[in-house]
Amino acid sequence: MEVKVHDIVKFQGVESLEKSAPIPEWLGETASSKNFGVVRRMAISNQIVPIGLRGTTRDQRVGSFIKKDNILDVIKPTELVERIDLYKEQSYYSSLKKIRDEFNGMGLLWGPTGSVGFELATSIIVTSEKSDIDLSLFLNHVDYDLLKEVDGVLDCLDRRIDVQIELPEIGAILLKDYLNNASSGFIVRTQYGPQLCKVDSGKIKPVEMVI
Amino acid sequence: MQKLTYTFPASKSINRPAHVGVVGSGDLEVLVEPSNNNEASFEVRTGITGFQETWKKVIERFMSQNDIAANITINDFGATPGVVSIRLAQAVEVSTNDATNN
Repeated sequence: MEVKVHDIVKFQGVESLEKSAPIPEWLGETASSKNFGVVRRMAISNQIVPIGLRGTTRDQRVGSFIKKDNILDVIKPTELVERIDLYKEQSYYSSLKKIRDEFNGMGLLWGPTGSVGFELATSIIVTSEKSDIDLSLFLNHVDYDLLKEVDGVLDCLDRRIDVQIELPEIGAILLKDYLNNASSGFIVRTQYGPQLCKVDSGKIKPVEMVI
Repeated sequence: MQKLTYTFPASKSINRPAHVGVVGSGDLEVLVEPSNNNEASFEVRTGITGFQETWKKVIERFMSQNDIAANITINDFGATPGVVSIRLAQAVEVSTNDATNN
């Protein structure tokens, strides 16, 4: 079973988690955290998967780890696209439906992440009317014209949509950051941490800086 | 929305204002304006509460390396400390750059 960043993993209970990470009190008492986690952007080693757990408030977030053997199910953001119609009552529905129609027409591989993705994956209601809509777009390489077109689609919606572009072997880039700052510097989130990069001769290259 | 403010004595002047970063989950905007006060004054606006100590550490570390007299506004959308440090460094690079082409 292959797990990747943003995948939602299901597990039996708090006892399935690695004991090395903190286990706050709310964790075992909250529906959204006691059986589900979201894979974090970190290296996976020795079959141990880094996951994030979410409680009911924004400060109830904690990083944890789980052994692959303790994972019962993996739900990928791309699988959630077909569940969108099950959430017609939710405030994000009309935006997601439009995105699905447009993106599917463009042949894109994508899926909802963040709180909306979590909700679609688990059926546990964690969004509010104010929740952002986060999406991941899975591409093999960055294509400025395609991304400009994607941005045009999203600009026509009445909700703010945050898009991360996931690139294999590289990491993720925020769509807006890339479109606005391709030549001046944008951040690539890698499994070893964030890195400022620029596009140079058509390729993504790291920028050396002192921080 | 939480507002955090920090002020430090500062001696280095900067050449120009800077605006880096983006509005979006996991990122932040950093706006830097030159100040004549020999002070660096930070205003952090964030929707994620409970990280005062982390902000303080990141900003103190930044000031220990940069010492710029400026008014710095940060609009945070849940950036990690690593992303915050990169954006601050990027803003300094823009605002201390002598070149006129950016």
